[in-house]
Amino acid sequence: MNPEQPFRTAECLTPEQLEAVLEGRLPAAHAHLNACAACEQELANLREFLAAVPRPAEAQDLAWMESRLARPVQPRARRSWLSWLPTAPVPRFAFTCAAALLVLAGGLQLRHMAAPSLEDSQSLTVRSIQFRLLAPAGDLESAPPEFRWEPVAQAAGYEVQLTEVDGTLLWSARANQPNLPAPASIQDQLLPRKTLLWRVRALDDRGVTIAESQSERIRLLPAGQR
Amino acid sequence: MQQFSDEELIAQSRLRGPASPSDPYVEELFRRHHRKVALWCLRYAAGREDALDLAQEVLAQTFRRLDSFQGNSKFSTWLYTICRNHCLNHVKSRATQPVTAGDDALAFLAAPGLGPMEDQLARRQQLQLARGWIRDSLDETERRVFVMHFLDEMPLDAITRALGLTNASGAKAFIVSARRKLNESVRRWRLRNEP
Repeated sequence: MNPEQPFRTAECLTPEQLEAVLEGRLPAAHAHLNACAACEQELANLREFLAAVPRPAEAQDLAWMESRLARPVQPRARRSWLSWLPTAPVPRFAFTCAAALLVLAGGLQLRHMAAPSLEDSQSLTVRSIQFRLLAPAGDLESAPPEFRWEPVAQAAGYEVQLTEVDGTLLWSARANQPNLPAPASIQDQLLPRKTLLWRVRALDDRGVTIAESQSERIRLLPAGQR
Repeated sequence: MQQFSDEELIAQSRLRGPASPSDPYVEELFRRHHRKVALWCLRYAAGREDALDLAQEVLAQTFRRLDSFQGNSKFSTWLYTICRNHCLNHVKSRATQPVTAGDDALAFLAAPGLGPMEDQLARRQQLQLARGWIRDSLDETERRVFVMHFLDEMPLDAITRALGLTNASGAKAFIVSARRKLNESVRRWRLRNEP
């Protein structure tokens, strides 16, 4: 979305800054809040989220939800967090079948298993090996023209990801060499003071990840600090 | 356990290795916050069953990302951004009617008959004007509805639920009144500034 519109300005506040406003640590932001409907709305949202005060009409449904989200009191009947991880319900018998198959496959594997061969190192996975991102990094005076990183010896390609600090994916693209131009749409995402993260995965010719970088933080400096 | 802040719970959990659902520190962390997530999802979902699914998705997503929490903000603020984004995506993905695009918020600027004003002003000045009109003409609820609809692109029925609006036509009434007020601001500006 175009940042230059009635709701968004280059000075719009990050969640961290909104938190600071709520805690009285950022009085300088009040002038912007008074002028910016988007930040005013975001601040109201954050305040309501943190307060979590139900309206009268919501109390019953909220209690119903809480009773299902909370773990049961009886230790023997505790509901595992693992049950929250699938987004769709999985029939119990499917777990039973999967467990049975695992036992069967494991048994067969044990019967045929030989000593590990050193030849396996030919198809080595170097995911634990990390390579460095070269640029951009840290505070930036202007939107970066490209992303650059160290080449990985066995990589057939690379996947670049740009995310919000909470992990929300903003952009992803692939490259055959250790650099990639930043498209204009990504440069628009870089608002002053807004921290984003980028990282790269090195892929083999089958598209399997063989190495990955750490995440690098980038933030465009506000005009007055450049 | 109570003596630990949220961020200390995460740090304690990390000392024990990768985040685990059965880690007592993780359990305590989510126990403290599932009410916030539940209430937010209740306001963004069509019913309580839908809201429960949504809340479980948010909590699971938060758990999966827990290792990436860097402490730039409090955990609760970080959780808010995940919850907000997830619920917004959910609401937009379920919208049966296409919502008005964000740029239509400028319709009052680009409406027929406003050509002379566009000629006179640089775009930045137009935007400053529009921000001023939004700030000065609209009351708080109108501003919130306006931003949720045109910036977050939320459908009007979802805004009605999220804000708990109880008037007959919900958020639509606030959009109508906001547009009317903004048009009036534009008209007054033109009277003052156009020859």
